[in-house]
Amino acid sequence: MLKHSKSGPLKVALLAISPHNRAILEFFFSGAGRNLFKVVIDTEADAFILDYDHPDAKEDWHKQEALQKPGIILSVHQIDLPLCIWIPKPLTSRALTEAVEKVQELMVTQPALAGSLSHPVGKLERGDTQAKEIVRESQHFRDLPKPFGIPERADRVDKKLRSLMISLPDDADDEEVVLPLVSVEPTAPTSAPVTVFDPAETNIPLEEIDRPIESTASQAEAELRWKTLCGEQDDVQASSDIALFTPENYLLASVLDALRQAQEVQQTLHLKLSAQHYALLMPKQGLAFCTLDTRSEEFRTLCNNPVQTGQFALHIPDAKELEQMEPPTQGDPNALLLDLEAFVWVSSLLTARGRLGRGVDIEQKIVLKYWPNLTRLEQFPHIMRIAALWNQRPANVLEIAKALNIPQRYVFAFHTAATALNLFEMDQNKLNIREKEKPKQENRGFFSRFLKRLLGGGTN
Amino acid sequence: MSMINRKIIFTGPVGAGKTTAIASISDIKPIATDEYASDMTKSRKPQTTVAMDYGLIRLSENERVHLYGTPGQERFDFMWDILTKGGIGLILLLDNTRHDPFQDIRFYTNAFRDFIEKQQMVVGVTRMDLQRKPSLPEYRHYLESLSLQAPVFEVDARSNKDITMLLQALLFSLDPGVIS
Repeated sequence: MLKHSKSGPLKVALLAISPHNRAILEFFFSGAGRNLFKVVIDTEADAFILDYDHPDAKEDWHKQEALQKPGIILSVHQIDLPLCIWIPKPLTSRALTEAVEKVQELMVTQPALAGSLSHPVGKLERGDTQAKEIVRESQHFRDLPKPFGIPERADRVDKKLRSLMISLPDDADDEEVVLPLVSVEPTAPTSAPVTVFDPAETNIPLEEIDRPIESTASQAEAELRWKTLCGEQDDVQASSDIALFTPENYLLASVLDALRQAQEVQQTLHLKLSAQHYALLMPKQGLAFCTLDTRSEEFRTLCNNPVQTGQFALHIPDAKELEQMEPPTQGDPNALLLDLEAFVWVSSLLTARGRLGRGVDIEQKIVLKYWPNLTRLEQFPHIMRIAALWNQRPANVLEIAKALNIPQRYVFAFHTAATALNLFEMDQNKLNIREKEKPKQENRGFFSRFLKRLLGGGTN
Repeated sequence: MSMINRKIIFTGPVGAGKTTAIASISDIKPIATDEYASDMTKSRKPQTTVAMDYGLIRLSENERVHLYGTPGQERFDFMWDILTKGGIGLILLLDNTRHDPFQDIRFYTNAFRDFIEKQQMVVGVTRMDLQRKPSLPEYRHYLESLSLQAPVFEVDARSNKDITMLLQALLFSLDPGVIS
């Protein structure tokens, strides 16, 4: 809770403040900081707040003759100006509170200030020393490096944008419903009255969006694809009954070898898939170009069937060879370009079909070190839950399936594909429990309804 | 019956797609901070200052998820304190075409560190179609070097599907046991 100012809110003018920053300050002054500051026009202000990182800071400084009043300077750099309190960015509410107290102390301890505050700005003469100080500080301003995120000096037309504004709905009746938390006096004679509000706390009518439903594959198509990717095996009771495959016997081994080599040399690698088809793995771009559609039956067959010796071949093509490679004659070549991890992921899934690779220690507890890039990878049921739980808790494959009460084949599929992308932490000395406090039961119902809503199922 | 309100905060640098992301999932036309007052002067309607982007998802008559977007380039911690109060999670959007996205990660994760430690962060990297580097593995390793654990996805802020995935990852990270 912020303290009350001893003598009521400090009347301040905001100088050289961008529309965004002004809106933020006004938001704060209307709520938690309402006992500290009151924004008024320049001539009524007892003090000013100036954003020294703003491109217009120097000009506003001169124009307002603000040195006649105590000021609060906001800047990422330390600024030493007479009668001013510097607050480093990022701003905190405590710093603002303390600044108010210091400004009020200044007003008491500086007799000249007390006089200036009772006079309109502009009537006071500025001494030579003070004028020189301004010039010196102005030079200092020009020499400062541009802080992170601060735009170049904008056209002065922007100066008129004193705050960020939104239009309310057209219906005149709606206008009366607006319930601003606090009205703030305008800071310039030309400015329209401004209200500050938190949209969530006001009962304003908001325009509904009629969002078109994105076309997605039918449920039947999706289920068919999941079977292709994750198989149809039933759960097993004992780890000895888990279906295994030997990666070395499939295309997957060549894909992983190609990936490893490409990443080592950071060059495009050519993987010959058949007499007509090939894949290019491009580690620098993080892309793969495969002349076979990874959703095609031909690619599925290529991944599913055991390889014959010499069926696949790897090499690093030179620039001339790359130029001479002809794009496929049918279809959109861009459709054959996919994320490199997505190519490895789908190759793994199509090969494993819900099985584990031979050599996997089924009892070994592991943890998901990095989440897969799920927005660009092929999905299957429960994938998010598997990733989330395995990211938080070291566990073996059977424990994950049991904890989530889901078919084991989805966990096995995830394990194979995420292992191919090297996303697991296997080092037993580095397995940490990352679970935060136990999820609250009252949140679970809300999260479930939120999730259902996100997935398009409504909430009822 | 009392209203149940939850809050999700979208943060990140200017141009990362916060406003667009909120618009892509909000049930209402979002209130945005990047509208220019010069355009607004053409309107005779009352005008209201906003300090943040705002959108809303209605779950039912008495359940709402408020979506807040922080102003991009600002350095106002107190604003973030206010916004994160009562929040369930943070979506950090990064623009891959920026000069140094890792600097953005440092800045925003530092500013929101307390909140991230208490709740959960999910990272969405935008504009990877224009600039592939840094790659997602580089982002993962960088977050790890900061002792941060978070899902990192490539996203198109205009895509309802992509932003929905970010929110799903947020919810499942908060509670892997949740079911739809």
